[in-house]
Amino acid sequence: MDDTLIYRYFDQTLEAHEIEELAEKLCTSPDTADRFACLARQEARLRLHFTDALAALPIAGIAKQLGQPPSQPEPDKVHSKRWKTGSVISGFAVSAALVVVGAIAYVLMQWDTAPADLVMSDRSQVIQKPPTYGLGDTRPRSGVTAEQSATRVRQRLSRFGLPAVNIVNLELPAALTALQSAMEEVDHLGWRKQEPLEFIVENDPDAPRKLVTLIKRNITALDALNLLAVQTRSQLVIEPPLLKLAPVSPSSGLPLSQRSFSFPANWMERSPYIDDNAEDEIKWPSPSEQSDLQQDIASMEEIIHFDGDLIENGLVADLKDPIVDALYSNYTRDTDQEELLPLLRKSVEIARSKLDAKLKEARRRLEEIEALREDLVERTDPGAIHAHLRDWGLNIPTDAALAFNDETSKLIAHLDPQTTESLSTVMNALNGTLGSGNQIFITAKALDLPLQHPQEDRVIDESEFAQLVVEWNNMTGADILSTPSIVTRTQQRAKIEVIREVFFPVNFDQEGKISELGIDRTGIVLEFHPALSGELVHLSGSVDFGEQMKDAAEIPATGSPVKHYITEFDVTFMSGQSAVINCEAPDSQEKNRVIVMTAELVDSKGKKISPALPPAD
Amino acid sequence: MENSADDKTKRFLTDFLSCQTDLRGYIGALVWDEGLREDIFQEVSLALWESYDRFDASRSFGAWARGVATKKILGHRRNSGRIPLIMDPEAIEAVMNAFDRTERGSTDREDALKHCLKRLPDRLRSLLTLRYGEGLRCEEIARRSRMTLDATYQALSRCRAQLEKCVTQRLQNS
Repeated sequence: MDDTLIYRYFDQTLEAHEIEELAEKLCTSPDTADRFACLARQEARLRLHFTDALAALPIAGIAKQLGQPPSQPEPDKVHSKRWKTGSVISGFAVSAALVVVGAIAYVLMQWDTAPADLVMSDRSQVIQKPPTYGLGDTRPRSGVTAEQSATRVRQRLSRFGLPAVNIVNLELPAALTALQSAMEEVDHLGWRKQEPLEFIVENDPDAPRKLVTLIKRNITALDALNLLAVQTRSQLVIEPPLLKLAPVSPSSGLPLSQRSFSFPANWMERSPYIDDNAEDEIKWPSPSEQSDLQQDIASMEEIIHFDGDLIENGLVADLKDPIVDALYSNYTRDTDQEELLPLLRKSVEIARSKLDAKLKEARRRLEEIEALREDLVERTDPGAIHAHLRDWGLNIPTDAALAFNDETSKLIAHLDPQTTESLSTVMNALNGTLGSGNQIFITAKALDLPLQHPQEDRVIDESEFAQLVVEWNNMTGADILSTPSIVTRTQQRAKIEVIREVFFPVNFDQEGKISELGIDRTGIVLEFHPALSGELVHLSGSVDFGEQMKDAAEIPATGSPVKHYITEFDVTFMSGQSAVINCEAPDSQEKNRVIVMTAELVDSKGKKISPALPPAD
Repeated sequence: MENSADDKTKRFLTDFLSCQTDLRGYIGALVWDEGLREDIFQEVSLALWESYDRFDASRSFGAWARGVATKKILGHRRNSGRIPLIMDPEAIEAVMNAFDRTERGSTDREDALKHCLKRLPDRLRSLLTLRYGEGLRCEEIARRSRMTLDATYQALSRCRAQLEKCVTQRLQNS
C-alpha cells in the first residue's frame, strides 16, 4: 500500500470518508496496520526531535548513558498551554512528572559509577561496578546451576583486585597458595569465608615440574590465575567449590582449547590485506559512508527530477548555487521579474546540470562501496579468516576450528594454546590494546660457568638477574662468550649471528689440490620467534654454538671442522624478566654453558613500557 | 522495605524509559490534538506508576502501557467528548495489535534519525521544523515557505520517506 494515505492522516488532511477508508484497511490488512504503527513511531520521534520535549526528555540520554545527568526541562516551555488550564488532570500530570524526575535523580545518584556506554537492555551491566580490592557479597544462592555458579565465581574473580602479587620461582601449588594468601589479605568483605574455594593443581605425572614467576601490581585474581595457567601450559577450570589448574586436554595429538575473541567493528579496515591486483592496502569505506551517500543521492534525485517549477515552488535554495541564490533574492522584487526571470531560469538549468554531474559521481562511488562491502562479506567467512590471519603472520593449523559470528563479531577459535596465544596477540593488536609501535627488546648473555656453579632452568626477575651478574663478574672461571641483542616485534622471527666463517675442503682434484671449498661458521646463532600477549612474552627458538674441533684426529679430511651444539627452548615470561637456560656444550671443556635471555616491551622510540601503577589510595 | 521501594522505582524506570517513545507514538497516532495528547501521556504515565505492583513482569510492559492508554483514550471520548472521533474502536484495536507486533528498541533509531536529519537539505529540515517543531498545518507551511500546497505535501512526504529509508539503512549498516 502507498504510504500517502497514512502520511496525510498524520498531516490531518484526510476527508472523513478517507479516514473511514484508512480505518477499514487497518482492520482488514495487518500489513497496513504494521506500516501505520511504524510511521506513527517515526512521527513521535520527529515531534520529540523538533520540540522542546526532546530537550526536556531525560529518557533518551538515560537510556543510552546512565552515567550522564539528563538535561532538565525548561518549566516555562513544557506543555505550557495545558499546564495553564489548572485542571485536575494537570495536577496529576505534575505529580507524575515529579515522580519520574525524582526517581531519575535517585537512580542517577545510585548509579553514578556505572560505565559510560550502557544500554538499557543490558541490565546486568547497570549494577556492575568497577573492580575493587576485595569482593562484594557472593553468598551462594540456592537453585543455581553449576554453570551459573561458575560464571558468577569467574565474574567475582575478575573483580577481585589485588594490589600486588609477588610470586618468584615457585612450583604451581606453592604459587597458588601464595596467591590465596594475597587474596585473603585484601578480602576485607570476607568472601573467601562465605564461599570457600579450593585451589587445586591437576598435574600431569609425566610433565616436568615448572617454576612460575608472577610479579604484578594492580591485577585481578582472574588475570593472575590465567597468567599462572599460561606459564604452566595448563587451563583454568572453575567448578565451584573447586578451582583447578588442569593440563590442557589432548585431542588427536594436539592440545586444544576454546577461546572467543571480540573483533573490533573495523577489523577488516585495519587489515594489512594486500589486493593482488592493486598491490596496495584496500581503503574500506567508513560504516556510515554508504547510508550517507544514499541519502545524498535521494536528495539530489528529488531536486533534479522534481516535476514542478523549481522557481515557482521555492526549491531553488536546494541547488545551493550562489548565482541562483543571488538572482532569486532579487527576483522576489516584482519590478525585476521580467528582466530577471529568463536569467534565473538559465542559471537554474546550469546549476541543475552541475548537480546532475555530482549525482553521477555519487552513484559511481556508491557502486564502488557496494562492491567493496560484498568483498568484505566474502572475507568474513571462516575460510577467508584463515587467509586473513596469514596476512598477520599467523599460520593456523589446518585441523584447527575457526568460526566467525557475523552478527556478534565474535571469532570462536578451537586451537592449541600456543596458537591461541598468538591469535590473542593479533586480536589485541587489532583491538588496539597493544600499541602498533610496541616492540620487544631482547638481550642475551651467553656464558660458560665453572662446573661447581650449576644453574637451573628458570625465570628470574630484574633484581635477581642483577645479583647474578655481580656474582658471575666475581666468579673465577666464568667467561662471557657473547652478549647479542635485538629489537623485534611480535610474530616476527628474529635471528642473531655472532660468527666467524670457517672454510674447509670439500673436494680435491687428481693433483691433490682443493677443487671445492665449503663454508661453516663458529660462534653463536640465536634464533627465536617471539609472541606477545599483553605483557607476557613467549619465546620459542634455538641457540646454536659452533665450536672448532680441537682434537686433530677428529677433524675430517673433507668436511666441516666445526661441531654444532644446538639447544631448543620454549619459554614464557613477563616483560622485564629473564630466562636462564642451560645449553649443550662440549664435554671436554668441563664447564656449564648458560644463556640468559631478557625481553622487555619498548615503544616505537625504544623507551621501556612500564606496567601501570596502582591507584594512589 | 525501603530497598523494595527502590527496586520498584528502578524496575519501573527501566521499563518505562525503554517504551516511552513508543507510547508517545501510539497516543499520537490516535489523538490529533497536541495538548490533549500530552495530557493523556502524563495521565497514562501516572496510572502505570500507581498500578505497577499489579504488572505481570513476564509480559510486555509496552503492551500493558498501550492497553492502559487505550482505556484512557476511550474514557476521554466517552466522558468529556474532548477527543474528536478519528477512528472507531475496532481500528484502534487493530493499531494496538500492530504496535504489539512491531515492538522493538528505539534508542538506536533515535540516534540514526538524528544523523539522517543532519544530512537533509536545509530547506527540507526547515519544513520539518515548521511541521513538527511549531506544529503548523500544511496550508500555513506552504504560505510561509512560498510553496504551493501540493508541493508542500509532496516535499513533506518525500522527506519522511527519505528519512525512514535512511534510518533503516543506517541501522542495517551498523
